[in-house]
Amino acid sequence: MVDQAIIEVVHQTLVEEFELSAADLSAAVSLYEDLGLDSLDSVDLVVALERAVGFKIDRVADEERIRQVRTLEDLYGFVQAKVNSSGKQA
Amino acid sequence: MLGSAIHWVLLCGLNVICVAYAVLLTFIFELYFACFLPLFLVLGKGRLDDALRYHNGYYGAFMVCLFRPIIRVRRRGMEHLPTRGPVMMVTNHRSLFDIFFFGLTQQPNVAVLVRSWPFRLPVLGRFMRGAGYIDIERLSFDKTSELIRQLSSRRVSALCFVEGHRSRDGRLQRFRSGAFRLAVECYLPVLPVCVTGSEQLCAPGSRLIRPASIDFLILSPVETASFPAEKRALKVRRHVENIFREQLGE
Amino acid sequence: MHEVAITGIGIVSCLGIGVDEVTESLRQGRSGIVVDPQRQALGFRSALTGRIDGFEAPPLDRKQRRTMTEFGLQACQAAMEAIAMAGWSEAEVRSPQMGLIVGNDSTAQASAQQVETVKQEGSTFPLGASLIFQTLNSTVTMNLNTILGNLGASWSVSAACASGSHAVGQAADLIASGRQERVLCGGVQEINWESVASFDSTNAFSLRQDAPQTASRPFDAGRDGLIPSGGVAMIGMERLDVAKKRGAQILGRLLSYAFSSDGRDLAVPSGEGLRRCMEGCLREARMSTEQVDYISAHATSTLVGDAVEAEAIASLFGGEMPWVSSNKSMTGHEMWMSGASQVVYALAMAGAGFIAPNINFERQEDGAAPLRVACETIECAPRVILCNSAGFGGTNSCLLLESSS
Repeated sequence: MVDQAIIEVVHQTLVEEFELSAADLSAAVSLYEDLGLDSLDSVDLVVALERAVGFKIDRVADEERIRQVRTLEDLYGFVQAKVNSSGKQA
Repeated sequence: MLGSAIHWVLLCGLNVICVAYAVLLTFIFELYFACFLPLFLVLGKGRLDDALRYHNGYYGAFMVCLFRPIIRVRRRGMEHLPTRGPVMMVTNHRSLFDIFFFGLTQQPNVAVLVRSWPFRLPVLGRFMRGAGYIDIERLSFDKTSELIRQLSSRRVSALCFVEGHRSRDGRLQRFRSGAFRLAVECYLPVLPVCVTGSEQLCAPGSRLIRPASIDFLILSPVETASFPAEKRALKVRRHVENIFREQLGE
Repeated sequence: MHEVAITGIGIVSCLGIGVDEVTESLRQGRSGIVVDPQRQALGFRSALTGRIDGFEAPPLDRKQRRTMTEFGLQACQAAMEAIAMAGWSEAEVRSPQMGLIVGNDSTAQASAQQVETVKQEGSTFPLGASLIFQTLNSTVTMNLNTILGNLGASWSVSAACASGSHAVGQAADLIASGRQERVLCGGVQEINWESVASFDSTNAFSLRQDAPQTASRPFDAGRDGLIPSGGVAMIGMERLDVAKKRGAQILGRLLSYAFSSDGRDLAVPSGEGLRRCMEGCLREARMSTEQVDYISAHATSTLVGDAVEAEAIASLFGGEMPWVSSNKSMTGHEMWMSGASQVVYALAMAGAGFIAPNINFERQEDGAAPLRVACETIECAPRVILCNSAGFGGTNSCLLLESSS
């Protein structure tokens, strides 16, 4: 299960950083095909989320998982997993 | 019954006064223009078509300003006028008098894109031809584009009523693509100007004018280069059409 | 060899946004110099700078903006102005025959931001993927190329304060040799403290901070240093026959471009190099010194630089001295941009029928080589104009223009 709070932070970040409309954001939407993000954006997106949510990205270990993120649902899952694991470490 | 008859008589009276007043103002304006024209052409080495565009722009502003309080205009968004040079102004169309308000942009050197019929009007047609207004029904797209680029190289802006013809019911009609294709082709920023209230001034089908308050709103310019290259004009048109719909609450 | 026409100009400078505003400032001899409180607070020796007021970035898309610096956005605006004035169609711009050459020699603010972020965060990760495209010296040409979609030449030229002039010259060469039909060229210069800090520490800047507008005084006996400034100047050039064929409004022709270097000192110009450059430029255009109506001098208001240029001009032009003025008296030194902005200012003046004054000029120092400095606005359109430019390291560039007005 993904926290509602995480969904909200992800949406807010997308709206603020990428000038998207909140109405266009839902779980099934593709970041690339539907929202029009590109490869440069995917890097900036993770930077923005790291700052907004407060987790730490492991750049080498997480690279492949970030590459697999296609839809908003994938993104929620990725952020949730990062939050969970950083919680365990703490 | 009686009330509406009185109203009608008052309105007719007002129209008679307005016409007389307009004739007087026009006479005064043309007198000034006749003094100014030789100075502009000879001393300023200006061109006649520039002079006529200035004439038309200033005439509009002059009439609108001196027709208060019958026509009250609220002008907003002047800060959106780009200083960098010519633009493609696009606007909605609700009344025959819309063109007058464009004098208020303080950018009098504007060539208007029009259909063929106004060129056939007796005096007005002459002025329009002399001012280098462009007949978009008669000329091909390439020829129009060439003319616009020649004008923009002399820092002359263009103005297009993008609905094609006046709206009968006040609702925004589908935008024609021509102006947007031209803006893309000639590297002009699109400047949307939204005019409302002018439909009260002269209702469709009526020959009488009524007092009206007009909202003349200049919106943020749109840089066509910021749209993806593929089907760029179409995307610009859609974007601008949405801006108008949002503004008009449709 | 083909002849080269200039059909469009565009500018964002401390004299105004767009050619019309700038022309008016030039006519009035208005200075764009101010004192920057931030530089005062940072311990600059001189906080004088040119300042651009009222610039609103062109309404570009987010993906275009994210990789662009402030001066990149200004370049986009000036480029659009120049292209609209040139009357180029989209098909003509998006063609292998269209080039883009810009003079630039720094992008210090973006580079400083990169260093600061990495040191603060202990990682390169927060830099994201867009900053790299702002930190390269070719940031303007690469970004503009994706916006304009031209398919020919696209690169930047670095030659210190002569960058802009060399860029215009190289663009003219590409057209003259037939390798490009049209080129958008120019110069850019960022205005921020990061880009001039190490320049401030050379003690080259004027200290007249109590009267900023009188601080820049090229050729005047009382000059005490230059004032850094900046902005963007863009010029649309094309083959004369192509321009004529499409019925374009021709602002002027670029008659010749010459370059030279001093081969001596990094910071102190020899004068001999610039003189050789001017001679070469006139020789190439087969023009004599008497045919030149106006010299747009490089003079930046430094003690040595101005004296040496005066010497070079006086020794070459002798008794038949044309009007001389330095636009930098109003703008300050627009450095990487200045060689290109001189061309824009010169054509704006010629088009409006005047020569802008070398403001703040009272008299030359005793023993200086005598010049015919335009102290106030000269109401006469210059036809043949020589633009001088010189940069650190002793690189020189001269452009000879003939205006159509």
